[in-house]
Amino acid sequence: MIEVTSISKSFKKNKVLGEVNFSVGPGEIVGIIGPNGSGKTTLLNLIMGLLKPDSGTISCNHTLSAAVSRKGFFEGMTVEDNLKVYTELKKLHSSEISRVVELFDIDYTNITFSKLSAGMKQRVALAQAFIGNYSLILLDEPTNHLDIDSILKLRKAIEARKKNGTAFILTSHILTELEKLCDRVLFLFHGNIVKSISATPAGFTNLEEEYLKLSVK
Amino acid sequence: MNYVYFEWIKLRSRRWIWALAAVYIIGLPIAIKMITGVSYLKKEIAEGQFMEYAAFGFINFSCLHLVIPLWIILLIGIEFGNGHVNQVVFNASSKHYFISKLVYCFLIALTFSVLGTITMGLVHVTAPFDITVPVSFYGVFIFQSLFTFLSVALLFMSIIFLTRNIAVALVTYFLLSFTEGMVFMFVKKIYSIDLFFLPFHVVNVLYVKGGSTATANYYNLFQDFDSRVLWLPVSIILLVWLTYIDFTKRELKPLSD
Repeated sequence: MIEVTSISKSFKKNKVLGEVNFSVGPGEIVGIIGPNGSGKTTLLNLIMGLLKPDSGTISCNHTLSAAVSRKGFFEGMTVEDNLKVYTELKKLHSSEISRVVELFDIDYTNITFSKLSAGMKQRVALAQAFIGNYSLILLDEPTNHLDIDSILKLRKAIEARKKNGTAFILTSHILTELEKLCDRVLFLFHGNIVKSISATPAGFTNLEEEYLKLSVK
Repeated sequence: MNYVYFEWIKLRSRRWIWALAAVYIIGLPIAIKMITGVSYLKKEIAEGQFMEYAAFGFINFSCLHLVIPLWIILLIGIEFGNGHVNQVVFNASSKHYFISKLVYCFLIALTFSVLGTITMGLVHVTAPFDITVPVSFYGVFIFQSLFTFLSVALLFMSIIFLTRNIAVALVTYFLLSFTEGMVFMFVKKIYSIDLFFLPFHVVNVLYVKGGSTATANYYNLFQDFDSRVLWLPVSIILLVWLTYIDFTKRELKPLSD
């Protein structure tokens, strides 16, 4: 369970997050949607502990993994060596690499990271997040630059992990993606969660309509 | 976590690092051998000072001419630039990252000390005259160079941790060393006060008398102990500790595409 309570964050005089409250339970997939600059990535960076909140608390008894950007990799290293750095960092056996490589169909492990396309790098970043058995995975715009096959693989990987009790917080601009995956969607506008919609057994019905209504306000 | 292995896998997996290492491993001994040889032939150094001249040259060149500073600023700076620091802090802790960099500094210092000792061997064996060098010379050299290189490495590690940017760190290094030299000279000439405790100067005290980087001032710290050198561990430990506090308190640049 992760509980975000009254989190606020400003960069100099620019208030990025107002007072954000939400929680995520085991096996739950929570999507965060909002326009550019609404504070989605800042919120994930706060949960990761890379930024410190101005006020509020984040209590978390999950073990965390994340793919919040295609950064954090060495351009001059091969994909395999980059992933090796992460298995070492996460204190896991390097056999984990073959599992995630297969999961995201990465058949270019011997290629230097700098030579990869944006989509290929994104798959490596996702593979890195799926190394190990973490109970909460944060994914920032996970479908960015991915082709349809890769999106389907990602969806499958998320659903498989959800069955094992892994929770996800993911941000996206693609409403249909959130509709397909999430149990709950939070609308983040101007640094505040202005609405939360849970999926019914039939799924979400009015995400786009809600988004448009909120963005007009 | 095995910090040595963690640093090693990052170093060994990049081809350009091997290329850079090859330049230093081949270039440094040859450069020192040539400079020493030419200086002897030009009668700039006496036979009795031949090995001391080589030892001074290797330590001084490594500390001040973008050898160790480059290996520290460039390699750690890349990690700040590409978001690796953020990933380590997130997946392990800021303490973990900081310790791994202390280990990295030690590895670099040790590597250059070993390279320096090999260089001394090369200079000895290929000397243009018969020369007897006691084994103790090598023992003293490896300790002296290790302490000096480690101090320099930690100094530069602090600079890159505080600036978090390769270009800014390099400019800071040049400005600091230039300013410090000016301040040292100015204060000494005008007020006759020896500001030996200034960071770049106090490191020099490890291998040159009074911290003045002139060949003739090279000395063996273990035989001719200069108590001012005791300032060095105090100032380095204080600097590293302050750097650690800053690193853990100050936010990292957010990760985003």
